[in-house]
Amino acid sequence: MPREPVTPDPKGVNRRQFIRHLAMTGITSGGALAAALLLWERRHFVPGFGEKSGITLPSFSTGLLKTQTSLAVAHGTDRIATTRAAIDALGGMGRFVEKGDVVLLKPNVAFDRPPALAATTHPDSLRAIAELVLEAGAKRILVADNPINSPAGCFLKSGLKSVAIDLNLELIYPEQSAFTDLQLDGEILRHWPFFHRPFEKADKVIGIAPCKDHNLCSASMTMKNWYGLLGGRRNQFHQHIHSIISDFALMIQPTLVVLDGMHVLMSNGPTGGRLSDVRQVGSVVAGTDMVAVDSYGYTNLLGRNVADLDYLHKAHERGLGNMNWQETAWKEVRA
Amino acid sequence: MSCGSGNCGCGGQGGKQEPTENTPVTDAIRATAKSANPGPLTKAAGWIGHIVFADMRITRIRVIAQAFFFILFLFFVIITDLRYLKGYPVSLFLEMDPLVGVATTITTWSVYKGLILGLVLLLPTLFLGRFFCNWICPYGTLHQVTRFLFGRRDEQWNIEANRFRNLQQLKYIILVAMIVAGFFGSLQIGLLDPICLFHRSMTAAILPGINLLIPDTFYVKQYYHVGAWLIGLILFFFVGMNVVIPRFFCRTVCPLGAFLGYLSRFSMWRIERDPNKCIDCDACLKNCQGASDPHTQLRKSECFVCFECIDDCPVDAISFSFMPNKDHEVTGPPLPGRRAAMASLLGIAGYAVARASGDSDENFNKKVIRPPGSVREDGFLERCIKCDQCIRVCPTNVLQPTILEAGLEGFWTPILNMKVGYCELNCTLCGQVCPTGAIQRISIEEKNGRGGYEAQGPVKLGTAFYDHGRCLPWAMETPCVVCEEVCPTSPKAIYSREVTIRKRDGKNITLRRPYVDPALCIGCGICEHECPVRDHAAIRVTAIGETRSPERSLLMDGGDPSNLLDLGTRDR
Amino acid sequence: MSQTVNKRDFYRTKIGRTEKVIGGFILLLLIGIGFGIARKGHDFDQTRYTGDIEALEFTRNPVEGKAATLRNESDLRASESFVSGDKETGSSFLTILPPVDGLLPMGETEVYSVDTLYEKINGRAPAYFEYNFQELTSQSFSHQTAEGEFVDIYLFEMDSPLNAFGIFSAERDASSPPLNFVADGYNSGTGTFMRLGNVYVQVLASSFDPAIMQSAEFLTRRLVEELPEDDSGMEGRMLLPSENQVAGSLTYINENAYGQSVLKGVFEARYQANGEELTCFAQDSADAGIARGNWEALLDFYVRYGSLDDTFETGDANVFVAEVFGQWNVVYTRDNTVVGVVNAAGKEVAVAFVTALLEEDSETTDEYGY
Repeated sequence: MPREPVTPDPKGVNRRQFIRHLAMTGITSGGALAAALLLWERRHFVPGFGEKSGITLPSFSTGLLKTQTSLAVAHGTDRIATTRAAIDALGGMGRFVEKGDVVLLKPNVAFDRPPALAATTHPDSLRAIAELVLEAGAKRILVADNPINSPAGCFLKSGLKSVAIDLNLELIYPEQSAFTDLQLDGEILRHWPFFHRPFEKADKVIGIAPCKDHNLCSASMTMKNWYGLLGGRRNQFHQHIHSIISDFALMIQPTLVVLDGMHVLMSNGPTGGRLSDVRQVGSVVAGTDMVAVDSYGYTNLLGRNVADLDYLHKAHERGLGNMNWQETAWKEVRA
Repeated sequence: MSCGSGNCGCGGQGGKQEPTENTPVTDAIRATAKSANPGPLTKAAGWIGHIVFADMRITRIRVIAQAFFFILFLFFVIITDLRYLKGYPVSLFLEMDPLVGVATTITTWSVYKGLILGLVLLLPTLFLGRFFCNWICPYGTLHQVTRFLFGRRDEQWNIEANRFRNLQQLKYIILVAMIVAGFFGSLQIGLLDPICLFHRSMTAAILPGINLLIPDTFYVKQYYHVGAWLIGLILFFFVGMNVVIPRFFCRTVCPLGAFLGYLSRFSMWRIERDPNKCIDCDACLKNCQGASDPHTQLRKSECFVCFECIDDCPVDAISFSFMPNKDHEVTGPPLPGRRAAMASLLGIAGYAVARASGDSDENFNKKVIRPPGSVREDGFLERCIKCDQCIRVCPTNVLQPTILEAGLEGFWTPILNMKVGYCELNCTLCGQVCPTGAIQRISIEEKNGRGGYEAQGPVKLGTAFYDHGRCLPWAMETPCVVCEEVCPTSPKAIYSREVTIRKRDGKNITLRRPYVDPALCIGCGICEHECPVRDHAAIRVTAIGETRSPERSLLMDGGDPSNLLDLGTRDR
Repeated sequence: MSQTVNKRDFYRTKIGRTEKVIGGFILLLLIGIGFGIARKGHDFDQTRYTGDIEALEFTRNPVEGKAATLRNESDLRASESFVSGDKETGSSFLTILPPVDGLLPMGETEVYSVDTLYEKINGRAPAYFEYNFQELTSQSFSHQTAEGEFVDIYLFEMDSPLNAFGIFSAERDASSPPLNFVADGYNSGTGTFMRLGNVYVQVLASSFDPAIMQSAEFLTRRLVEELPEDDSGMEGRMLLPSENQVAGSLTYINENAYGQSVLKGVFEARYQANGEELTCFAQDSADAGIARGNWEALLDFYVRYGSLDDTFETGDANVFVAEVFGQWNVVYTRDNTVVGVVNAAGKEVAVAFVTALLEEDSETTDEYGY
């Protein structure tokens, strides 16, 4: 089938066609490249878990003016009087609690020990703070903790239950439904069941901790106190105890922390067991920075070298508090 | 001679001329070959050198490239095995497949990890045309070799067979239907994509088949796959059809070819026939792979850039030119607009009726236990290209292609079959090789809920349930706690309680009766696999309780795994 | 394709330069791709696919009683104890809780194993693990009349009387007054602490209320009656004489005493000598060879890190006197024993003390220190 050659029969394309073709190819390639890079998913996720979210706690801190005291130490012989003196030195409870506030008091009721053994928050300590909060005009006071031993037994044997009944404080027990997942960008603590019910209505949070020796993390004071807000299988954290205690400073910014050093558990902590482990020191420390308060407690109440307390350094380095309490505005009084 | 007409200008010699190029390289090779007593290795090297260097035509290079990629493909398929895997990028072909990348982008609006490599093939196609089909595609090479080995050698027959057929429209219809279904979230390109198809056939049918004939070639223990016969038959059908229609699959069915065909409309280089030189002998059709009508107006969307026509033309009328005359080509695919519309409707309708069967929603099958790290079912159907790489790499042969358990859309997607194997605790190989993220690339720690992931807990595939009528200690007065012994979780999800019963013969027997703790069970299936009641195990894993789907969790005690682990202290 | 090379008729014989160059280029590209893939294959992280490659190898073998997926013994123990752990089985100690006047059981009897001890005493648990804690049985009692008062008893069963003594003495405060009705026991405020056989017993009353204190004492005496005496393995303490021994200072250290790895199973007591307090230890070994080896290991240590003052033989004992970090150590070995004074401030006092020890016949000391 021989054919006549077609004329005109240019070899290539004319300029207009060339430009148009070039443009089309260019746009398509550019578009493909751009779309691919924009939509590129480089990280994997674990299906069914990544989408979980959790609550984050708001800050309960009432702020700090330069002129205000951030740490106060009171020395005395009577627990209630000394505690009151410490709070007064900070500026009085009125600086922290407003009229009509709902205030959560978080004591350390981890074990079912009698108060004399200094393994739990002393009932007088709770009484002193609760009375001060009521005097400042709070509407409701909640008391909550998730103990190691059975909650009913702990609140009863530690004497805190009778204080609660006496002053009409609301005890919140750690039931299954009281826990919600916490979302935190911590070193160890990222997503964990958290005892959230007491916080749902709380305007202010005050931590009240005893000063104790601790077999694993060297000392249990105001920072370790927040361990009692965690649920789930928290014994796993013993492998990373210092990291997680420093995570607590990220997890919660309380209004106030109180470190009760009237009787200090010097050895065999955190459970103690004999009066010989307890020493009468006679001080109460109150402050807005839990890292500073713990630093004071470790050196002055337990009489140890602060270089040995890992979690304090971690929290300080992460900027979650200031362990050099001497540099802050602090006061020392006698009750 | 067989050249047809007399106006070839060769002067009757028929073109049988030795290549006479003399280059320094070829001179050196000839000199070496002629030197006294060359050894066999030197002779072989000389021979190869002669072929490559003395006659370095583009078609020969193409053959070398095809051989290279084919061997590379086989290499990857064979080493996708725990013992040999190391760090080789075994899913490379799948990741570079542009259709896989584009289709998953349409279904998920994201490009998962390695799929960005699709650009490596996609962008050159926009410039050079469908070179992939004849230079790289291992399936295409397989078809070409089959035709070469078993097809008719008769030149006239070949010329007629290589003319364009309207049947070649079919692949565009298939492509459009699948892409449109993709917009609705159903990824079906994997059914006919050549790389996926070839991977799947090798995994499910060919390698196990060879292992049956020659034991221990590929597996330590023979692997079996559900529906292997169907997969094998489909492969044999397509490959066999080459004898009837050369490159049948590539020309009429291949959706990747269709996709590249759409893209090649933008190519700036193409095969160009000089009508002034052409003598209309149709010799260029003799070995034309794509049936792209190089003898008239070249169909850009069908041309495989194989360069055979250039070699075959007796008058050198064909060349590979840059932006030649647009009147000599058919730019776009041979799919009229109305047909394309019909194909779209086919895709929509197909998706709609398939999804309406409910197999991935309310009526989900208890046997659809997906590999660890799998995304939710609707996401899985958006991502799984049915390449069966996960099935290939699984060390226990527990992963099997489904038939209809996961619905029509889930055809050939992977599920676990505990009768054949179980999910090994310390293994996430399936996720490592999955190219599209249907199975995410999770780490061992993420899978088992260790090393920092204790709070979120392990990935659960399902939950095991006892069949008290079949369990030996429960129903047959026979002691057995194999399930408890092999349970790999720590603490074990299977626990037992001692009980003393009076047997049929009057004697007392103390045995342990097993229970499952659903809070701890991860659904790995080793209990079901090891249960001595082998035909229908007394403990069976079903999909409920899987962590990947919130709607398929077995909610207890608040449902949070970290709370549930507190059960260590619960009274039992 | 060897046939094609010879048989195929090539119409085209002139191959342009561009074609050859491009061809060469493509060949080089293929070689490069090959190399790249080979490289990629060799650089990889072993643990990327599996946590433990050896564990995966076991999947090939038939499961025979123990699954390949159990990675190590501790997992097996954890699962076995979790599987078999049953709060109801308890131990024989349940039988020793007969009613004591005035006391009523309050709550359940709790039993804790090695895996669950954290749930009772939390961070204190590792101290007990060091002494091979086995099981804790604990029970609370309320008082019939005294309201709000209670007594808690803790029975820590250890693996041997020696280890029970170890934890008992580790927690003991030397100033606490000893009990007069039991060999190892003391009173500390509201609590009574004893070692009875291989059980470390704590009886804690809630306050000094006379009624509850009396009930606690009855309970203590009842426990002394019921729990079997067992001092096996405690013979080593006889090496430390009771004369001049600081009351309540006798302790048992089960390993790494004073940071020395050879000092395992060591009794230690403090003594008053010439106004100074000395720390003296005694170790009883299985045979003289081991004792001698330990003594020499200590000698090596002091030679390396301190200075050796003197070594001499007296009778059948070998003695060395060494100083390290400013403190004096005088240690002798005789027969199966290694005995010595460590970390003493003054050399003469230490040497005098040890010499005095050597002169006493070790057999005659049958009154061991409290």
